[in-house]
Amino acid sequence: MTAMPRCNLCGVDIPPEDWNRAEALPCRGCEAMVQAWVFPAGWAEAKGKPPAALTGEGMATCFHHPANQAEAACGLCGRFVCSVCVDGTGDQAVCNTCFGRGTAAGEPRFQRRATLHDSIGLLMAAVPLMTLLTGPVAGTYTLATWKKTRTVVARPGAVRWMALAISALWLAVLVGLVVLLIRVGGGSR
Amino acid sequence: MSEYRLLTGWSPGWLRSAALYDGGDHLLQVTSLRVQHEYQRFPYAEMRAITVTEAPLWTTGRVVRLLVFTLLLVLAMLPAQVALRVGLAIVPGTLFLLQLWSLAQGRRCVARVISSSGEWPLRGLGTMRAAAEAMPQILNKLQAAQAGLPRPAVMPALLPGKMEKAHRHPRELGWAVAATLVLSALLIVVYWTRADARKEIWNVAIFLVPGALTATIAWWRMLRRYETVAAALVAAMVVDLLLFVFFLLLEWRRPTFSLTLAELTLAAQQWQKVALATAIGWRVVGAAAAGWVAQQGGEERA
Repeated sequence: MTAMPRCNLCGVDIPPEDWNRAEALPCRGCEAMVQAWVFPAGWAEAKGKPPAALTGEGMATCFHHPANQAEAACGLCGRFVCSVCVDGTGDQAVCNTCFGRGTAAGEPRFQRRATLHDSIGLLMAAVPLMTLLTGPVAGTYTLATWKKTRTVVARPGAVRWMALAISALWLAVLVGLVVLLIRVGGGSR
Repeated sequence: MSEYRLLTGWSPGWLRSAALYDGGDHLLQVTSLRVQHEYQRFPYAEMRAITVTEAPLWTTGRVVRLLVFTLLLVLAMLPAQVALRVGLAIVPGTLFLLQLWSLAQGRRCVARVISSSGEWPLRGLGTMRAAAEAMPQILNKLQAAQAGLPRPAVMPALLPGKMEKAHRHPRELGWAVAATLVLSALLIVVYWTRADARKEIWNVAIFLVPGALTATIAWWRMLRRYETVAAALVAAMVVDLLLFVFFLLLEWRRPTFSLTLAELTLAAQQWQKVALATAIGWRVVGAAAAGWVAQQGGEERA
């Protein structure tokens, strides 16, 4: 076990006799109720261990470090890689090169973050309630970025429709105000 | 996009919230920064440990926020014009309701996962309810993913799906009950000093009905989830108290002191006493029950 489970409030280690219990137990440091589950992988060797050196002939070697023993084969390019070069996407081992390439290409399984253009549009339309001009601007932004929000998980389409509706409302208010001003100006002449 | 299944609802948060998704062979944590999503993937086969620590519901930040929003709401009620009141109350009222919703999510927890890549916060498990919902599913996946790995003799077996018991030791309930009761009594005294208030049954009914509804919802949630009777009652009482404060502030400057009807019949005035007695009695019974359950929790823990 490389890292001991500990209380998330006070940082005191949770002793093995308190692991995997049916119910929470008071922390020995702060008495907060804490529950710890430790899994078999916790006893396996750490992934970040130093790469194993070659010990005999016929062993696969790392593509990038010929002196190191191969730990896995990249699921994309098939090259053998050592523990230094291996990365993961959740479903398979991937070498660092393919991982970098996938991240740059914006593939969902490599995706680390996504900009929520629909939320930006909604915030622009809804939050500055006192500013009439931000409404139309938000509508334009929402339309311009209509299909640019690419999230890994499903996202409701109602957000962008709401942004559009609020900005349309602001636009109507703005047009109404302009018409009113013109009429008042015309009446005073 | 559709391969992910939501394990928990989004954890409550003002600027940042998070949710956990099951991705088949890995756990996906999505952290929303309102205008951006951040993704973290934890393969089940490489997860080493998960710790969940129960955190107090009433933190200094939440109390301060609640007080500030209440104060803003009070200030919004000061102008005489109703339209101006409504206009000024929109923002603080929304923030106030959001804070109440956040509190209604129940007790918080802090969770962390130790994986092959290090130790990471599991922000998706922001509440004990979310943890109770998600942990059995995560543990089932973990057991399947790590079935082939050797289990040392010193390591106890996994016992998933027992998060409920973690909720039976509310420690700060005694203070919450006492504070709620005292404030509630003071408010009723203040209310009673208004002579015209005593003529209006609606003034009491308006805060009793939401209070009763809140209590019913709290009770239902307690039955459905793992929350204790005490926590549910205290939550209902606090919400009821805040509604009463809001109602008093709304009505105080009005000459007739009524939200809906200007005058009442004599029969209604008699009913008003019953309603007020019910309000006081409900609080006393609720506080006693909450104190009893809190005491039971303390004894069980000791």
